[in-house]
Amino acid sequence: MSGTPELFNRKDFYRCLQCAICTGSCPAARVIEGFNPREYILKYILYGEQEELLKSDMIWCCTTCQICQERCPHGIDISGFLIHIMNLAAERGNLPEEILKEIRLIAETGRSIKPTAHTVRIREELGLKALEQPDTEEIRNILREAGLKGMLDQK
Amino acid sequence: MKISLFTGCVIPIRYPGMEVSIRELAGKLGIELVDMKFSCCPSPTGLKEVHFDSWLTLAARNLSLAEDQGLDIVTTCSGCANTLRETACILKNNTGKLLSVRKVLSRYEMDLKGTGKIFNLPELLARDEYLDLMEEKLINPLINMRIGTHYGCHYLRPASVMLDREQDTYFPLPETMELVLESLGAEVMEYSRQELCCGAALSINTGRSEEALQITAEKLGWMNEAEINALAVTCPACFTQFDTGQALLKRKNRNMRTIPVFHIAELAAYALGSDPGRLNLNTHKIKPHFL
Ligand code: SF4
Ligand code: SF4
Repeated sequence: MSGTPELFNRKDFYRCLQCAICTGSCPAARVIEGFNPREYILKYILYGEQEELLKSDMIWCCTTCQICQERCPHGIDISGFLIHIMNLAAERGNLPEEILKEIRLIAETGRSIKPTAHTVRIREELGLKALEQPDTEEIRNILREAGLKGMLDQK
Repeated sequence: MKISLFTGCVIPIRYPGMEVSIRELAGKLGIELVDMKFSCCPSPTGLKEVHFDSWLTLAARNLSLAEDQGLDIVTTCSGCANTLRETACILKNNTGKLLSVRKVLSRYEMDLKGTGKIFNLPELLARDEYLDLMEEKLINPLINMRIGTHYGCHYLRPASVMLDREQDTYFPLPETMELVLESLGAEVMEYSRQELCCGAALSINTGRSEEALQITAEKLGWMNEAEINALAVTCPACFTQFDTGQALLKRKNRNMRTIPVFHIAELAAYALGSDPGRLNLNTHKIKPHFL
């Protein structure tokens, strides 16, 4: 398991008023029906309904904009909590294809997007140097040793 | 000044013109940029959500590369800035994390002491010396530009890490871009809810692009209400969301008012005399005709 729990203090969440300033400020909640950080806190921390939440694909709609915690009257680290939930969900195999692809690309090329022939040509035309080639083997090994192993292997 | 340049993945691949802007601008201001074999930052909206420790360790590797050369880092993307600064901050305050990161890095003969600093481009540009220099060297002042700024969430939050100050919900913006744009001769405008999200991550991460565009459209509404005629950003992901986003929204509503979008480096380089063609400004989806 990746080490997110130590980055937020569970006890902080016991002070949650359920006032919903977080959800009211949240850009994702405005456009995605059912995405609701206030309710996630209620379910996960206060009710202990954990598995249900970890199976939901909705949690990935968080943009990590952090306006929720900036506005929370108790300064609760809601975004850190959601990162934790997403880490747990990913470990159980619940993560969007888009993100998985991006991570595998980083492990393969060191970058999160792939240069095309067009990129190479335009860079040349503009007089830019060719892209630096990161040490992909080292990057891959570091990711594995930091614990990402399983995710890079499963196909 | 000599500093290592962290462009991130998006700029050199999708927006090479922005990279030209950054380099030409640095040249004009006497900033020596050093290129290093950095990897993806990695993104605060990607790997961090999936495997926190891998995110932290790969980011630490990037920090270590610059530190090894005794260089600070300048970033040109709000996401990269967020990852690198937060990583530096976590490793400074959490000994356990620092130890495990160093253990991995040491296998590749790398170390991290945390001596290097990470700056966002506008943060550097907003220093008095560079503001003065830009005023002095101004060739194409940004007149007729009623410009708004969008910093991007990850430039701003958490304030303790990104702005080195307590958060302030009444004054959430650092105003570094405002200072730069004023010295370039633009009229800087305010608009409602300036500090809110552009929506990009929702679309990138989950493919829910329609919903992400609704977030963007709402922000554009507030910008239009303030009648801005240009938008300055510090982040290529926000750039895509507003530039390509407006092009997509316009397909549905032909009469929609559009606002040209610029990376702050593009505007600064242009104002200091770079040729718009070399900066590839004509590849923007929303054409900046008035330049
Ligand atoms: S804003 Fe803070 S206190 Fe209010 S519901 Fe959200 S987390 Fe709880
Ligand atoms: S960080 Fe996530 S939950 Fe919080 S306001 Fe932003 S999108 Fe919503």
